[in-house]
Amino acid sequence: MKLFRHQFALELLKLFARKRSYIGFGAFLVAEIFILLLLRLKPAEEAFAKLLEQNGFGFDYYFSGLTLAFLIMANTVFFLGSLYLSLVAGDMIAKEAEDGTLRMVLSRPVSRLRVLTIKYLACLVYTASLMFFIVVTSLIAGVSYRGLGGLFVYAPLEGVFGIYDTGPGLLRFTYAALLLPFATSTISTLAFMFSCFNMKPATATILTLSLFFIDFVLRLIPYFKSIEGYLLTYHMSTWTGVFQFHIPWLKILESLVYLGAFNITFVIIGAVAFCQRDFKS
Amino acid sequence: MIQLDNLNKRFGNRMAVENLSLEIKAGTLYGLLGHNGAGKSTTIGMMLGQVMPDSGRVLLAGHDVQKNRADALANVGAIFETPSFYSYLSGRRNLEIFCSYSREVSAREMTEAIDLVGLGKRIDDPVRVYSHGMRQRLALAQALLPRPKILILDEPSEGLDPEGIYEMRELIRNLHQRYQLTILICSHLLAEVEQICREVAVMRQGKLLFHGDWKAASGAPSLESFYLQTVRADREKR
Repeated sequence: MKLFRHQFALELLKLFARKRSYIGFGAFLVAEIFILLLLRLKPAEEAFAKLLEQNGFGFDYYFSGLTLAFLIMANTVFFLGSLYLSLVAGDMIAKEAEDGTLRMVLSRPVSRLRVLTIKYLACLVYTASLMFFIVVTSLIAGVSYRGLGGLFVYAPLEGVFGIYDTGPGLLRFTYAALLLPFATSTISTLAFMFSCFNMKPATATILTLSLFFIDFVLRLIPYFKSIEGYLLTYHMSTWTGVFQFHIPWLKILESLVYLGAFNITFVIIGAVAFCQRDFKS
Repeated sequence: MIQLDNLNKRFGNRMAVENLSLEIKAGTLYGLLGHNGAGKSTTIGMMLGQVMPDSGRVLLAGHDVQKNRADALANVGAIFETPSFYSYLSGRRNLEIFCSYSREVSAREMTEAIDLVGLGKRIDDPVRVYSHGMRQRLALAQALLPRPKILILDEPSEGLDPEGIYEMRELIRNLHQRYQLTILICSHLLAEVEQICREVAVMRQGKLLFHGDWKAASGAPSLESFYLQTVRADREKR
């Protein structure tokens, strides 16, 4: 166990010492600042004020840091998050196989399954750290622009509408921060699975994103409403449920079980491919 | 020490290794020769459990690589044709990472290996600033940690300048004499192999053409002429 911890710590060091791992963090910061700058524009503020006032809520109190943070998260996590998670997870095995470092590791007396487990755990840690980063920096960016205030939530695709004071609003953000890593781990796991096959890292990333976007498009087509329960993106958006007035814990749990099942399936497929493939220069 | 029994490996339509059986005794310095595509790297891949044989088995120190990988590879160090490292990390960190997959290596063991390959002053520099020769030395250091009984070296002198080739040869010879290691060298540089190995195996198109003491088996003046004779004879036969 001590050796496993040592190997895992070195795997994390390897992951976080690489500049490429920080592209996602940087991109989110830029996106957050950009969205905030756009929201300062008069037409954007006016549209928001109209939406709030139509529903009988005060603009000054609810056009707040919390509301802006939710807006930023809701619009960036899904697409930017998937992009950078699949970029890093798609690299985990495929890049090392391409570079040849994996051959050096596999010439050691270690089972392939152990190497895979260590890398997958590191991939999950990366997913969690990126998601926490997004929640925290969205809040910091939003609050530094508009202060704390109330929280107004409106996400039509997910059917989420809610209005909260500061305290309960912050509590919902805490729930979201805890749920997001689970919700998005499926994208990382999917990219990780492709990474286990004999393919280039970019191919693993592109395949993941293609499946993700196809899944999302299917979700948008109204005729497929009856099958949305089988779609990845439907369950991945479960984190927005914590912003509903009555949090649908059962539905969230059900989605987490689905995502867990997806993850287990992807890991098993990846492990079988990884354990059977040949590594050659 | 190293035993290959009826190894076979096919990639698509091409038979990469065919019925390969070979035994290398403990403490031997052994050369594995063959032109590009002869099946040398595939053979090494199978020895290290990186390429799955279609049939046959590899025993290292009596342990089957496929069935008991941990014990089979516990006493093996290897370097590959183009050694790869995490270039953004230091040489020392790279050694730590690779060694962590064997067992914990003490600071003394690591310093010994680093000094042995002559990387003492540069070991904390990032690998991206290393020359090719330094990378080869680092590769050798990682192969020596933790201290192996078998060394498998795939083109250890590849890309080195004449001085580097000489130093690598002396290093290998020194390691063999000092620690009585079983060393398998896979190389295109026949003159190099000739200087350190009496026993060789010659492969062509996946088949083993010869194995044993090449000097005793032939009256050839050099390993190069022996190799060419062997390969040409096989070509004519087919």
